[in-house]
Formats: sequence, C-alpha cells, structure tokens
Amino acid sequence: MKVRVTEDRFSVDEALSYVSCREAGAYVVFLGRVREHSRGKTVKKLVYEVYEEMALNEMEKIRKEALEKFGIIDMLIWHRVGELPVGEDTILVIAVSPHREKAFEACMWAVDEVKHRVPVWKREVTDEGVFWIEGERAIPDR
Amino acid sequence: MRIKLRYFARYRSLVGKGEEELEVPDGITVRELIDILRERHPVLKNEVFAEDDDLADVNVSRNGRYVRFDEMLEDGDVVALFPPVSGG
Repeated sequence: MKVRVTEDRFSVDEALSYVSCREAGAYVVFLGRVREHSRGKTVKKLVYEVYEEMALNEMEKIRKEALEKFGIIDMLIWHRVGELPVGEDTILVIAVSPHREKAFEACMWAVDEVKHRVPVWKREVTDEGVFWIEGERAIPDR
Repeated sequence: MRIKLRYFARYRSLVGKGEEELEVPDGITVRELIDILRERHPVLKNEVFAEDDDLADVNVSRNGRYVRFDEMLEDGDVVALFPPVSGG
C-alpha cells in the first residue's frame, strides 16, 4: 500500500518493501515525529483526526503528481492518526529515483503538499492547554 | 434536493456533530449552501464566518474533492466543511 492512513506504528522496512526496485539507486525517507516543544510550549501529545476517504484520495494525487513532476520512479506516503505522544512517528514519505537529486526534491515537495492539502488536523495537548492547529494558527480548544 | 454535510476538526466541535442531512433548494451553489449554514448554526457564523467575506480560511469539499464556492451542487452530494489542514 503506497498511500495509507493508520493508527498503527510504521515499519520503515515494510514501507521500503512496497517501493523497492532494481532501477532505483536513491531512496529518500522522511519520517516526521511528535516534537516536545512547539511555539514555546511543552507538548504532551498530538491528537490527529482525518477525513479518511478524501485524505487517501489527496495523498494518491500528490503521489502521482510527484512521479510526473520530478520523473521519479515511485513514492510512498503514509500518515498516522489518533493520539500520538512525544517521539511517535506521524508521517512517512519515501521518494524513489535512480539518483538522489530528484528523490530529495520530490520528497521535500510531497511533505509540503501533504501539510497544505491532505485533510488531517491535529490538536496539540500541551502544559498550557489544548490547541487546535489550523495551518499556522493555534486556537485554544474550549 | 438533499445534501449530506460533514464537519471536521474544530468545526465539528463547534457544530456539535460530525454530519447531518439537509433539504436545500435545487441547484444552489456552495456559497449559497454556506449562507444557509450560517443561519442554521449561529456558532459557525460567530466563530468561523465572523466577517462578511471571511471565507479565506474555510475549506469545502464536494464528494471528497476540493470545490470552488461558485460550483453548483446536486442531489445526494456529500459536502464537507473544515478548517485549514495541519497534517505532517
């Protein structure tokens, strides 16, 4: 499965097995994790929710656009949902190409596109309260 | 015609439910649907559409795809309203 929304932990090895091929010499792997500090606050956990049907649809569109735009061989995009404490994996993007340049560019581009387009939202649970994160804004949860 | 509405993230929390069905006039646009929702859910009017033309931060999808505000809706459409996304 090259696009996936899941509550389960990622296995990077399993992910690589879906996109491995003999023509590829470069596998750029981006693994996002929950960070302890955000906007000056101490984060306890993130709570992700998703519009799953649409998210999978958008992730597949980003994947196909990346293949076309950068001429890479393959791409995988996975996203976690649910309650994720500090240190947990949140997103995994793998770009596969004969050479590293295009793979790095495509991976960077795809992570940015996911952050802008895929309907996933997080709430930050911090030592100063709970905040909805909407783009760049943090709005207190009442 | 009948439209199924879905609300996500903070909007779901404001409306107090994740989905509802609504009978609306045939052939209305997304923008006209939003006007109906403003009246139906004053909390959206106050918290989301605070200014008259403040739709910049509101995302709308129709049957799982992003949609323009001038697009016309059809019977049975699933329309979702949600805030700017924050995945990654």
